[in-house]
Amino acid sequence: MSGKANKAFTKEEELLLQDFSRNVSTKSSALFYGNAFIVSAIPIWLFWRVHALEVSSSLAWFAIVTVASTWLLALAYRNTKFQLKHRVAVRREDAVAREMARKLADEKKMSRKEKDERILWKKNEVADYEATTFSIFYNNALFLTIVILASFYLLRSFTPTVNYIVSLTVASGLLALLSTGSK
Amino acid sequence: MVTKYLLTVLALAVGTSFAQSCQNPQVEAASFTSLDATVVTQIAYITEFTLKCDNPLPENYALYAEVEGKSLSAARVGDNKYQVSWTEEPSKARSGVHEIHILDEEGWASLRRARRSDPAATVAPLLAIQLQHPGSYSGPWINSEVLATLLSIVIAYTALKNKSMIFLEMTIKQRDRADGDDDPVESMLKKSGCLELHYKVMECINSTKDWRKCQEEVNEFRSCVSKHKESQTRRQ
Repeated sequence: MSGKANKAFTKEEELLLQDFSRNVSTKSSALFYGNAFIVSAIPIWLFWRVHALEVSSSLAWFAIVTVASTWLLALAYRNTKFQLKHRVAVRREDAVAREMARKLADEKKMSRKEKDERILWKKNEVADYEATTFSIFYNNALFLTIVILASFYLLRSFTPTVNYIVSLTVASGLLALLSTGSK
Repeated sequence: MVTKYLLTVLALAVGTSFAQSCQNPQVEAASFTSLDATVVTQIAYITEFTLKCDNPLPENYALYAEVEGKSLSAARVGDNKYQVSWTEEPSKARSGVHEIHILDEEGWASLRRARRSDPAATVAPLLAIQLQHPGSYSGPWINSEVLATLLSIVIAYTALKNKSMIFLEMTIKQRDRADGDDDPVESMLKKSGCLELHYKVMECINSTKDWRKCQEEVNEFRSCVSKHKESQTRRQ
């Protein structure tokens, strides 16, 4: 994964490594952080309009909690995506291989190895995309549910500020924690 | 003498009572009911009507009202103008037409008299006003936070179910694959107890890429298989 190690690997091995690594590309990292930020910022509206939280006096809290929650959610997205990617790949590999084989059937010039590589690359791409989107959906859905349950029912009797801080950190923290589990 | 006097009094009384009660009453009514029950504790019903009679009415012509067994008095708010109002608990307030029976003093007295013996008795009213109450709004059917909670739970359930489906499919597929990989040669070798040696041979060939360098492993494996064959023939 590091630059030094990469030199020793062949292209296939690199692909394989990329396939198995926990690292994500810049593009999907931006997607994760962007999404996490939006999802973490939306509850501000809920607490401002519904729970009557004073905005001007809690701007600092908004900033701190949103940043923390963004970071935790992005972590959860990444971990969930990593867990899911191979399962999605297993689920999709037959279909992708079939489709790519059909697509590449006309290309007589292409060597067998090249074809295999392309199929592998496509599998990786499909699995990556599906795992990324599903991971975002999954974490957002759970985050939303936890925030709503916590803010409306569990922390109803607390002041809006405490309610806001606790429900958001608990929701994002719980998701980040759950995502680190092996299953 | 006395009787004669009494008779005249009676006649006078009848005459005045005829003069006092409204002849051929005509009414023009406007009404109001509370429509939003979220901000009030009681539903108000108000009707205001102007009474027109053929004969002139006395200055303090009192009217009484009865609505669904409730006794009320009509307030005089102007010249021949009266107002009847009452309130109800929002839970008891039904929508639809409420009929207000208006009675004058005489009718009211006869109604009270009739009620004394029979609580369900009715007396033909002087006039009846129909008040339409379209029903009041007591908030949405379902609380918005409950709705939000339910929706979010449905979404979370979908997410969890999908995730577990992906995991489950993976394990099923892996098991299928594992079963498929179990080829007859391997299962036979397993039975004979020479599978470990077989793997050793494969490992050696894989690492050296040369059959000749693996003679030792191959020989071991061969002797294991022949031993197994011998034992089987002896058993038979």
